Amino acid sequence: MSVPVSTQKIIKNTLGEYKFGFKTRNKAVFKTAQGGLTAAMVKAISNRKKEPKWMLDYRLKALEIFEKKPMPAWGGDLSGIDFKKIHYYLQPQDRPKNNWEDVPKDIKDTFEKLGIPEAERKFLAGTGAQFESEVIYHSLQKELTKKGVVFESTDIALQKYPEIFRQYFGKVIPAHDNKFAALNSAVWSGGSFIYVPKGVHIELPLQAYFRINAENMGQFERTLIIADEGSSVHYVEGCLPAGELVSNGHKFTNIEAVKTSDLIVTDDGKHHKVKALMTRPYKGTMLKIIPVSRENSFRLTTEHPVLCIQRKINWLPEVSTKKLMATKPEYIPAGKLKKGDFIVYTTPTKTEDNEIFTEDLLKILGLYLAEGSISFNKSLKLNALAFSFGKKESEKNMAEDLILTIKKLGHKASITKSKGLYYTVISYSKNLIDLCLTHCDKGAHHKKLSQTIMELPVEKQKILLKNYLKGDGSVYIRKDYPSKMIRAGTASKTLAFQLQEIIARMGIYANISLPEASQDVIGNRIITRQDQYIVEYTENKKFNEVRRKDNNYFVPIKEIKSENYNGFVFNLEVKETNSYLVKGFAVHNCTAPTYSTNSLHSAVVEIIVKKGARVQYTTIQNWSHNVYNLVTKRAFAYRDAEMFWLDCNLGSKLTMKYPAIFLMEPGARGEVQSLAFANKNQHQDAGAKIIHNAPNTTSKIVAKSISKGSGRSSYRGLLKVTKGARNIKSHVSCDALLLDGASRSDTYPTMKIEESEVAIAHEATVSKIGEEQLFYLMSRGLTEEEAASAIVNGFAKPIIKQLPMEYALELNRLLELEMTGSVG
Amino acid sequence: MQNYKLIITNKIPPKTIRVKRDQTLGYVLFLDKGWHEKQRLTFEFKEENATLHFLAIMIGKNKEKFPLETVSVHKNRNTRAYYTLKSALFDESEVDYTGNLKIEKNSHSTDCYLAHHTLMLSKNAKTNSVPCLEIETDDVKAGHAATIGNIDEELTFYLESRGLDKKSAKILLIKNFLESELKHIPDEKSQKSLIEKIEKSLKGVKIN
Repeated sequence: MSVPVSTQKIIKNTLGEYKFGFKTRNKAVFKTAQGGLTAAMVKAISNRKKEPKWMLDYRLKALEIFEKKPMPAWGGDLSGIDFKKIHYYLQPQDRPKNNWEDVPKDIKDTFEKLGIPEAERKFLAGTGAQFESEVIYHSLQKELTKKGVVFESTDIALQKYPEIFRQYFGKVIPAHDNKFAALNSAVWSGGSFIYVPKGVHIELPLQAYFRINAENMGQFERTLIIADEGSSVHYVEGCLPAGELVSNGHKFTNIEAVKTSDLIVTDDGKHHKVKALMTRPYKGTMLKIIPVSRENSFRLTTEHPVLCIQRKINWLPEVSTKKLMATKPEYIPAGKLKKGDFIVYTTPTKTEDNEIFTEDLLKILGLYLAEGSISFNKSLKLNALAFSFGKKESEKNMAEDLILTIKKLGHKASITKSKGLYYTVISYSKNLIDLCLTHCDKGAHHKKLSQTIMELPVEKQKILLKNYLKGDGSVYIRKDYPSKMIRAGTASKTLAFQLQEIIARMGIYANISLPEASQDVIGNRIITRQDQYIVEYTENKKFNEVRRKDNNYFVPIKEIKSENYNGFVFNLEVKETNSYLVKGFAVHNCTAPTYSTNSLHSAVVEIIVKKGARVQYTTIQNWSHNVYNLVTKRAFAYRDAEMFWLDCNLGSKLTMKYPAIFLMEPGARGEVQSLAFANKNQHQDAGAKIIHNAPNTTSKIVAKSISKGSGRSSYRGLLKVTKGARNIKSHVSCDALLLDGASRSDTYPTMKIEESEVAIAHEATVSKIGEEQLFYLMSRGLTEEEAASAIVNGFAKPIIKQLPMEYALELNRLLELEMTGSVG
Repeated sequence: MQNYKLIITNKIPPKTIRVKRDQTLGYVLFLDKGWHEKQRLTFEFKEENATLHFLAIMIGKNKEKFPLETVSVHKNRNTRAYYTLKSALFDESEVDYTGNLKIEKNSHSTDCYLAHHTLMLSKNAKTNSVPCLEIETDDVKAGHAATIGNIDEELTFYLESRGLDKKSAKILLIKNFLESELKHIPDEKSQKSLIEKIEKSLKGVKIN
């Protein structure tokens, strides 16, 4: 399908030869992608999606345009893009399987750390729906359907609403608009399609599901939003895929639940702040590394570096400890690892004693971990702490001993014998219950130890472990050799890994396994267990495959499995050091240079805002630093309509993005607010374009950029008033903040005015952090770093405050983090 | 003023002008005749402690075109450049202006500012204004501003209430707009001659 003549005319009249709003000065440097993208490939994509013929034709035509168009010679350096190496289609996959149940607790913790009041937390839990997608999705979806709102993935919308789709698709941004719009038109996949009927207002921002629903985040997603007369909608762009557990010292967190500025443990056993959580699409081999202790296995891509000692050719199967100790572990790409190589298990080194943990308290907590439970007694309206023991005489002694201990600490407790003749110790002491909850949590699947406990001196942890094993553990003593094998079973995955860590601090590398659900006997009791994690270790082991050096254990790889993977992978960037622990094992950041290719993200977003409607589109872009982010975004606003782009760019290697608004009829209003942060090796070339095509229209652009550590940020904008567009008001302001002498800031605004009855004002300032401002804040007791951070935050505040709450928090933390260690 | 040099011209020299050490250069362009090819005027600051005050007055009539580009290249520390451009556009005249401030690495304590103000006095006038900044060091003060608009109706109304007819009121306001920066020229004779030029140029203009 060709672009209608009327649209072509609008584009031509308003932009003329300035297709991007900016002139291409030089001849093309680009060579057509013969090896990469072919018509056959485009056909295959269209075929697989079972698209109608017109869409296939549209794609093929777009491909032709793409091949003809030269690479833009202005803006950023695009020479790193190799069209041959890009995956043009990512097949939608099942939503990653996750254990989301324990995530909300983390979120609550985060809220707590951030000091948000209770009432607000509840409110946030409602809007911060991205983690509990299913529930919110359904209730929201129902609400939306009732109002007649269409909110679908773009692919599904094409199948379900072919007519309305065809009416609007490619009308705002035709394929020939620019090279990357053409590319997107040829290979687009995913994205959102939103239609809001007349007069319907959607209160909640439509963002929730896209944070985890990887299906909608392709490299070439296509979003189309139509707000019919008098309606309003706010759409937020974001993503969040799934992964492995990473250690943050006292507990293990799903990698996707890690937030920037959280503390995690790295290969030196110390805590460091997470700088960024990065995401990229990946298609290829995924390796599963299985070390001694099968449950510690983890998956990563072949190029992801892992801390390792490779087995030398002349090493015997039983490696001499001396040789092993003399070798320094190095980071080696996972693809080069072999069975028998030693990977490094690291335990956190931070130790801090806490006097409240007396031997008695640790004993109680140990038993609580194994046997305890907390429930609400309805008739008494009190929380009750219960320890369940068996019915044997020895168990009775244990129960009685426990009562004595509890009483020694000044709390009350009683012993009862329940129906099955099991001994049970019950206490209603609020103080004691709080201690158990704070330091051990509750529920068999969720029990975990607090940070305070994980950092206690080893001697104290030993007491806890000893008492824990009294309940959940069992001991086998070999007759021929004085070794002692100790096993413990727990339903809590986190606890299992925490116990492994404690045992490692004691000097032994424990094994974690997960037998099938079965009946088993532990401590003379028959237990039906479901997903019991077995932590197992041997004292005085005769032969040991695992060697220890300080807080590191060299653990041989038992097996490496490879599987095909097609979806998103992600990666943490950690401050100061570039590693983190996955299931206790040190892996390196998958930093940009180790990637074999750069990724390309080239989306197209088209928005139509009809009479009296309002659309807000918010983006928080935090792609990894190897992504070329070349996005075309444009909105048409009709009579009395309002379009608002809110655009925040922190990630990517190069961003070239200029959200545009065409004000097509009188009374329309357009606003673009943007924030860009360019750090080392980043170029943020962002801006805005506003075309006044009708009289009595107004617009506003606020652009703020921060450059740091040799980063470069540019504002590139266009403000155009066409002939006949009388009575125009427009205000553009660009502020740039340079944080050091190596960074760069540019401003390239263009104003093309063809009418006299206008009031146009543009202003731009570039500044550094003022000595006086710093001095003032430091005189008030802030350190230089805090002061600088406060100034940057104040600078960005006008933009940040427009964001939905949880995104504002995220962005604040990101900025704060970028600022740490930046002064001096 | 020490080491002050003033240049007033109505021709754009096709060369790079170097502002020298400890020099203060006043450069005034009076332009009421257009041209076709884009003219570029470059000021280079290779030596430290140099200052430039640049003023351009553009009066566009009939189908006159003013395709102009100024570039300020700061290569040394402690340099200052202040650009002010005022254009009044009548009839079908057109201004196409690009003003670039380039501050290269290690040019510390640079202070520069560029302002381009345009009065659109006819529906058929056109303006294209691109004030750019390229900054590669942090110890700077740099900014630019651009305004494009028409004569304030309230001011005209005020003058009319004082007995001026509409046209005289507007001409008075345009004159004031164009002359407001002249007071910074530290030479009364030059000021006077520029005012005369402006008055002469504004004679017989059409305002709608």
